[in-house]
Amino acid sequence: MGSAGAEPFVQLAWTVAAIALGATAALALRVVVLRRAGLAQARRREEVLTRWRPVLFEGMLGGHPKLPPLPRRDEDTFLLLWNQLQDAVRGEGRARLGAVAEALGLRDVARARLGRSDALGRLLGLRTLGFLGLPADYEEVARALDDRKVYLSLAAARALVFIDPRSAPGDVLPRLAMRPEWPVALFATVLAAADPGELAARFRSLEPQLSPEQLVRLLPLVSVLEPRAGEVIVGSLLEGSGDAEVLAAALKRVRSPALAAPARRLARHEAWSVRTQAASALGRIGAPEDREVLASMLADRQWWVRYRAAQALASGRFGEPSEVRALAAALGDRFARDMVEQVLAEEGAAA
Amino acid sequence: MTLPEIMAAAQWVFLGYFLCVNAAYLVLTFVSLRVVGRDDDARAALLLPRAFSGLEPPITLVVPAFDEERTIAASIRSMLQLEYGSFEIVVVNDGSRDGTLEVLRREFELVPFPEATRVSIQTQRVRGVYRSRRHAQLRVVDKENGGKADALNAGINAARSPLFCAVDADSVLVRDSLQRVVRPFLVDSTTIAAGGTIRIVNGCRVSEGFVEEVGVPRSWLARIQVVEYLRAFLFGRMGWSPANAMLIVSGAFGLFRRTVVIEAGGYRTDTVGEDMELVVRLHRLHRLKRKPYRIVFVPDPICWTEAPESVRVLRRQRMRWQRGLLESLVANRALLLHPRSGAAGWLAFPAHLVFEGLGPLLEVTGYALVIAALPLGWLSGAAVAAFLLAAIGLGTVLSASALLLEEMSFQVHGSARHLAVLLLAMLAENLGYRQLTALWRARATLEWMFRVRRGWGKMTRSAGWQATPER
Repeated sequence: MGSAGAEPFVQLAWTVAAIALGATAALALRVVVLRRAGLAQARRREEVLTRWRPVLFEGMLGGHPKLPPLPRRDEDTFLLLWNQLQDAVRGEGRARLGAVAEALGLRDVARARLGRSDALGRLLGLRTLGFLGLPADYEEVARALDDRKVYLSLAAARALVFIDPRSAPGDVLPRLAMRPEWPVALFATVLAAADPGELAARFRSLEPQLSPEQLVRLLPLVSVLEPRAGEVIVGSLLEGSGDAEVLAAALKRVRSPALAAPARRLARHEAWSVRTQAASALGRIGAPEDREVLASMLADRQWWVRYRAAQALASGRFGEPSEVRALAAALGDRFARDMVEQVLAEEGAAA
Repeated sequence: MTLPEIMAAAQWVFLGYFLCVNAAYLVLTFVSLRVVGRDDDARAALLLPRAFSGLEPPITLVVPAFDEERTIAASIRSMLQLEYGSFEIVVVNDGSRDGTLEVLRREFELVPFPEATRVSIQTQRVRGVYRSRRHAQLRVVDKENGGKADALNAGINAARSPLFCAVDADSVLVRDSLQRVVRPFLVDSTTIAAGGTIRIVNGCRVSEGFVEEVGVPRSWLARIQVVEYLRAFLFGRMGWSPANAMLIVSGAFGLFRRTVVIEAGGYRTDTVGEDMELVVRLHRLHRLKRKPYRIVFVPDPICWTEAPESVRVLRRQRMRWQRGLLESLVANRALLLHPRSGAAGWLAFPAHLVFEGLGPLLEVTGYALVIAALPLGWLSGAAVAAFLLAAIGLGTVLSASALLLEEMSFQVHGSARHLAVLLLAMLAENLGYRQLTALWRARATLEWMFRVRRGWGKMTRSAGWQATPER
């Protein structure tokens, strides 16, 4: 290089090249080491599963298997297998797996995991304690509800429902309201196994304290409540709430003909999201006299209202397809006719 | 200033540029390493029993199809088997010139469907709508050709679900891909879009539309792209996502809130990078209007796509991507360094503009000048060698980081042989491939700058993975 700055450039470039290639080699080596460790771990895991699977199956079927020793390093793999089997069986099988766990001192193994820093270990601990179902573990498991990681909170909620289906709703529901990042759909699956009466009572006592946003978020839980309890909650919201989003969310949960009157009234609400859900609700619980209300909704300016009204009319509660077609034709509205044709074609596809 | 002095200054500029690019990407890598190391959500979630509560938001898969007669039936069959509570599929035949519609009609027993008019976004004329007699959740919209963006818009018009998933007709999905990609929508109501990791299907064994055995491609061109994809997704996107600054959700598979996309005006039909443009626009509209939102990356591998194995097709693809990138950034330049644009406008946008948009031009100019300087005697052989080795070395560090991220997270390529092949591909990438793609991208940048129009054609797929399902 002919210029004065060439030498430092060359030196810097060589330095960068050397560092980069060294770093590449180090990273590649790290990848290889991780892979070797991973393969060794996988082999070890396979050995543990091969050893324990027949033992647990025998225990699950009522036998008295000879239990091999469970070294510390195999505990996680064993817990994983034991939990997977618990997920797969019901009734006596679960109890027998519990007996095997008792013989192995699995409770202490699981409790020790709750204090660990790795999330996977804690998850295994929570799930195991849940399946063991010992009331003495309730408090410790409940502490994990407040974990920052949502799936650990979910695992804790599930364990609490298994340990004490009556107390769990009281601990889980208020937190579900307060933590918007908790997915209601997943928690609903968990709470469906809780004591239905207790769940409904807790929901009713919580409801007045909820903001409209919280209500909209939690209302899907009504689907896992006892029907009568759900009806009371939804009914009071339909009568008392002025918030369009709450009304729409409540209408989505309408399953009882006793709520037909508010649904009918809300079919004329100014917010189209409310009208849409009112049409759907009338499709589920409406009486023959609602035919006219629904027919008028076929001419709504919003596509979704027309669609849900047509779906309601085509549900079979309001007459034969030819009658529904006649209703739409009588409106003299092309959009209403098109919508009825679309929905009747969909019904045909579903059939 | 003499020519040799200019050359000397230029060397510093180019070396400085290479260092800056790599430093920026290394920062992203560290962010991604933290995300992978700290948050083992995906692995832990697998330990929880899976159940549908019936409360998951329904999803419409929107599948634009243009001349896809070879792959469309298998793709749709696999999509019909996806594990999710409630979903429908809307295939949009975008005026195909081959037998795409015929294949769909025959394979799925399509019959005309009297769809009621609903035009939320203007599109080319819809010729007809069909539904399947065998699968109630499958509809086909047949429309006049308007391009992929127009087809997606027609699909959005026909969608009945609050969320829609834009899927390429040749994408191979993972059975639970919808469950995985919907997670951000379940935990945060402000989520408006989510994308996942796309992997390369070449070399994999595919049966019944799903990847049964992961393999590595036979051609080195595709093998290098495996490493490239790892890098692009595992830190290119994972690194930006925590700052809510991810500017790309892959067009091969992305989940969006339908009303938000309609409010934004749908996909733009006058760009070749409609997927990126939409995401940058969503950032711009939400940031500038101070509306809370999240655009999230789900690191799980959820979709497999075919990589080009011919240089010609690869060149076309990369030039199209480059033009799409530039069009997306320029169309949304109001986001750049706007006081309200946050990390998206102050970090991600400038990084994409400088390192991805203009970077190839700088890179190619750097290589050209350094190599030209050698015979002219302006640079010594040692200086050229040092420069090239530094550039190559910096490139391999990034690829090796991506492999490490993969090893720490999903280990999709499980066998030792696959790992060895990927390590070799990582080296091979920097010995010609990277320079070649930089050259194509630089050319695309120049053509875009000088308004050169070109027919972009379409990606030619061999669909070899479908032809040999039992291999």
